[in-house]
Amino acid sequence: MLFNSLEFLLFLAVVFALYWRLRRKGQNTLVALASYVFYGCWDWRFLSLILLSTVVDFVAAKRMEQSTGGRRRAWLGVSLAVNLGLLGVFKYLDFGLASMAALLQALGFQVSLPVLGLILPVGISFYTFQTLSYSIDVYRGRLRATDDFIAFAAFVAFFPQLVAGPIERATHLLGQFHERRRFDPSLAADGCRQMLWGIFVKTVVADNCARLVDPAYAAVGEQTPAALLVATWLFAIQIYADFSGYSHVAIGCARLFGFDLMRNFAYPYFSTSPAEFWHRWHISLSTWFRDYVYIPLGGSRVGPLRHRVNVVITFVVSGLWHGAGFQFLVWGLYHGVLVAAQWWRARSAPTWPAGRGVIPELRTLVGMLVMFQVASVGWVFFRSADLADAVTVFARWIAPGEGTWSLASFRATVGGGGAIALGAATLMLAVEWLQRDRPHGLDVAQLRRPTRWMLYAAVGIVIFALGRREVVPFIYFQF
Amino acid sequence: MTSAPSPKLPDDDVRASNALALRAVAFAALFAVIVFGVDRLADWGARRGLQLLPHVPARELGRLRAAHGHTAFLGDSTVIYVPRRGHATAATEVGTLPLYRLLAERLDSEVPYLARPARAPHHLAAELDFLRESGTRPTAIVVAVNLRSLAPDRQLRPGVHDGALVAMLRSGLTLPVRGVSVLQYRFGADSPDEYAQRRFRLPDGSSAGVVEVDQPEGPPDSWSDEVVRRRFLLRYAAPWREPEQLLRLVDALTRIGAETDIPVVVYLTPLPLERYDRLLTDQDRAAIDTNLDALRAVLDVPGTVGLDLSRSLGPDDFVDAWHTPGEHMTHDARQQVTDRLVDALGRARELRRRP
Repeated sequence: MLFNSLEFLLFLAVVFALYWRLRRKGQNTLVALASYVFYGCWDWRFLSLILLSTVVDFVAAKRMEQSTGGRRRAWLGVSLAVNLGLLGVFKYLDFGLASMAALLQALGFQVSLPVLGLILPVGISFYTFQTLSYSIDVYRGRLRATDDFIAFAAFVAFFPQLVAGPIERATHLLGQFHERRRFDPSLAADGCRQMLWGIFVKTVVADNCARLVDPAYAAVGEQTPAALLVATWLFAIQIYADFSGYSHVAIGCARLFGFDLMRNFAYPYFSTSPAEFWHRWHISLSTWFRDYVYIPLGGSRVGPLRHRVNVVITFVVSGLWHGAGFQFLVWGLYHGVLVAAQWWRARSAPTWPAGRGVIPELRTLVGMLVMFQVASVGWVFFRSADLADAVTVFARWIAPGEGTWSLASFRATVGGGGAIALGAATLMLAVEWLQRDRPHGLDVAQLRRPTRWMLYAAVGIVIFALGRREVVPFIYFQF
Repeated sequence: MTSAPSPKLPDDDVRASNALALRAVAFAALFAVIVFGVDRLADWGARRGLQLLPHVPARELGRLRAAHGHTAFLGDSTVIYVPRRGHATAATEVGTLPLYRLLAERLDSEVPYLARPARAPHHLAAELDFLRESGTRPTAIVVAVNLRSLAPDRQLRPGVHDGALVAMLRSGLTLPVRGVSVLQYRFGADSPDEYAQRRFRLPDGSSAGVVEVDQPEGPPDSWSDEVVRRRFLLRYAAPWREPEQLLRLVDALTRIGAETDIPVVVYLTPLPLERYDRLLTDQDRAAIDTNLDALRAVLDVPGTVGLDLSRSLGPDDFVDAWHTPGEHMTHDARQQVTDRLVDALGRARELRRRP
């Protein structure tokens, strides 16, 4: 059940209609049931994994709270083992076996390790991290274990953010399930606007970019360097539009039910440095790794060299979280080195990126363009099917052959469907530039209602006219 | 964590959420009106050659209207196919003309590019109905009906099902139909996941998955004759999922025949039956004949001329790779078909001149 589907809109309408007629416990039960129905539409077989993760963490946290010392650690170990075990088996086992076989063969051993071909359950990387944060926070004493299993089940499986985040912390979201929610019309209306903006950037921007990116990256050896460059730029836009679009719908949808989810994107392409970029990109994951990997490693409370090593380790682990493949490892390493190299300039992201003016200062503009290129280089690893493909892309750029950088080849690449993709991307970036002090591009509560409604209608028409009709799943579903 | 006692049902919340829902419904109604208005505006522009909606479905209506005053050649890829460099099985095929262009040369008139890959009878029926109802008057209509287009794997394949086109042609609405397509309404087609899991039945009653039949393991050159035979049978001999599509086409042809004076030729496209005959059992041949007999219903419509070319070509007249049975013809074969069509068009015009 994709967010940009009639099926989901109907589902949402039914759940919304029932939800506000129930008391708090009934609402939690409804959310839990609806979330399981929502997930079951993807693949009902994997509901058992969510239930397992939920039960284990619920019980482990209760036991942790009631015990001390070694037993407390043991219960944390149970939670870590189950959640990381699920991830390990479903996400990394085949990769590990294949890598092991390749290594042994390189060392001269003739071995044949079985490849299990397990399907990666959608959303497993997200909900396991969410439940892990609960167990770890209870262990650390930052949070009391909950007695309310239904509230906890609803927290783990909360359908707006179940399959691709934002990865919520129990300290932020679980408490909201314990409290009475009040319907706030202005927040709910803004939630609808945010959902509309999310569907626009997903169906019009991301999916039209995918039309050009997918064929180019399916056969990188056959592309001209110009085509690969355009495809890489478009992928940079695509992945941002795709994932931020999902996050917008998730956050907006949660608002309809009185929940506040954390912001996941804060206009990352208006950043002027890698550190700022990572303060703005996939914020829920970045802060998760900061709190549960980087700080336990020592964070910045160690020597300068060790501090940089901690940064690199955190990014490498983050890279591997995205996918079982060496290309993701290199992607994480690349960003880790970039951030570590200029960590002293790190600062928290300002609310208003790149200054307040409509026209940016030249220095800021150059900084943003350079950062976009730096991020795009990383996306080559991220988008390539494997490391060999990524190397091929760079090789094509370094030794392109005669005439392949000409403007004609750019036009040949961009022509046709490229015009829609580039136009949509430009529109999205322009709107977000003007709205960059606000949480999303369609945050227009200050306008009069007729103007607002005409604006929504215009966005709807653009979605109807230019959105892609083919099913293009959200990129982060595969993680 | 202890939970707070449940408060009474907050009536304010119910009222406020109802108010938002009502506003959403009101906006949806307004939006529907606006979408309809924009759609009519785009349609008005399209009738005057101004393409306001830059996407394929909107162009579908425009391209059909473009047949006014010309020969409308409706059909599938066999009508528009011409080998691209690197895909041609013989060097002499490169640079040759597709069937619709050959027909245009022979008729010395315009035959616009109207056919689309994998067009099935229900698409053709919707296109004919649209031509008739929109007042578009081609000088003649040629309709290519391909047995392959009724094969169950083809009918449900998400990329070629195109139920949205049928809905658009029948309703005359482009933007609303496209809009619900963007919101993943599939008009009866499978999703890619559903399609991948479909199992189809071969004439002998055996069940075979699409992946198993259509994408066997190993390089195509290594596929056994049995694999090729099963692929062939799925295309031409498997029981149809939607035989009623033929009735829709017959109905559309009947209306064109009865309500207009446009000369119409309907033909069954040539099939590579002889090419694969050595792989087939008597039961296989009987299953193909059963399908062809049913398909011939479209050839007997009053006011139209029917032409059965299904067995008109030999084993060397097709260019598709051996392991992918297909109906794409060599240049010589396309010329043979053109000759037959020109002759049939003459008869169709003669038929229309009779009182």
